Amino acid sequence: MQTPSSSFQPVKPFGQARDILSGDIEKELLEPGKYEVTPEHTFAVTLYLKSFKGRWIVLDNKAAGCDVHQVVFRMWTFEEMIDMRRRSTSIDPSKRVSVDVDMLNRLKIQKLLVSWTFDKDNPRLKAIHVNGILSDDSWRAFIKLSPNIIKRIMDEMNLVLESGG
Amino acid sequence: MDIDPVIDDVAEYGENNVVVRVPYLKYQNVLIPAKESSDVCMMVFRRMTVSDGLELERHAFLFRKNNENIDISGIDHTLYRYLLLRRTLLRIDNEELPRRNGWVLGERWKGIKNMNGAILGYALSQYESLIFASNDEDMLLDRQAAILTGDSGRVVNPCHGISLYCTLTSMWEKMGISADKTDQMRNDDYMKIRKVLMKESEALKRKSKK
Repeated sequence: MQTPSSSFQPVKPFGQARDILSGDIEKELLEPGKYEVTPEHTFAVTLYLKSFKGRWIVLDNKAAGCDVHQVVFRMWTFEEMIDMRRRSTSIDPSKRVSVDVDMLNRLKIQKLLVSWTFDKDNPRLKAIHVNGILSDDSWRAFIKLSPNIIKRIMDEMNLVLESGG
Repeated sequence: MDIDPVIDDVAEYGENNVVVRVPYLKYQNVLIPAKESSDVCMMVFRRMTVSDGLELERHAFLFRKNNENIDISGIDHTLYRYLLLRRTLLRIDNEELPRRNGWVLGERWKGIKNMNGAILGYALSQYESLIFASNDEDMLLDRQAAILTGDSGRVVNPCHGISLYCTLTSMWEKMGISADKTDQMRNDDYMKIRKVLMKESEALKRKSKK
């Protein structure tokens, strides 16, 4: 009579499944490809701001007495780029295709802005993310910035993101 | 000669493939396309065929209810570009992409979707500029086609599209030879037939003037 231990044979399908599973884990553990985007792939937009007669002026270079702020963005993936462009593209009954540039810029800010330094002096302006998207409060804080500051941030952001044309 | 690099690519990768090179540089922590750089990402695309175009249009066709009265239908061009990449991209640098039934396999596609949008977007734009007619070419063809089908029917310095149209139409009318068949025809035979067609065309014009 065989003892339970001696009659035990590993079931083959289980072994195969384990091999497949370990193969998947190995693939998951592989480093990202050369051109793949990771959360570390960020770039910063630096702003030199100076107060003049009650309004903020954006300078091209650092000058004495100016405030220096940074807004950090991450690079978009190809899938994100396509998704954002689709969301901001509309087609009208005459089949004319139009891209809503404001909507596209808003999506870029909400999905790709990582952090900024405007919360340094005012914690209310902290960039908070919910499920990887800038919260509504943070978005409202962003759009309350002076229009010329917003324009500079968007221009510099697009210079990097849209460098592919 | 300027043409040599083009022929080098054809010799290396075949006439049905298109090679796109994206020079890039590192800006802060990200890679961005540049005009010139020692770092280059090379991508090989398959030249799009008619059947590819039909397949892509089928998948990218959208039907949207605009409001209660008007329905909108057409091609979603952004989705079309996305699918175009998956359909035609064969190789990135030295890596041959695994594919089945004409499409890049799902597992590898996940990695490609995650690639740098600026670099891939640039490569796709370059590829599109090589396989689709430019606005200028399109306008010229439009203008010459209007002249060809108009009263005079005579186009001076025809562009490639007009030339192709005239030659293939004549061949089809005379012998039922279509474009795919002419591909496999011997070139010396093709040149002989073409010469006869040209002579015939000249004779017809002379007769019509009398």
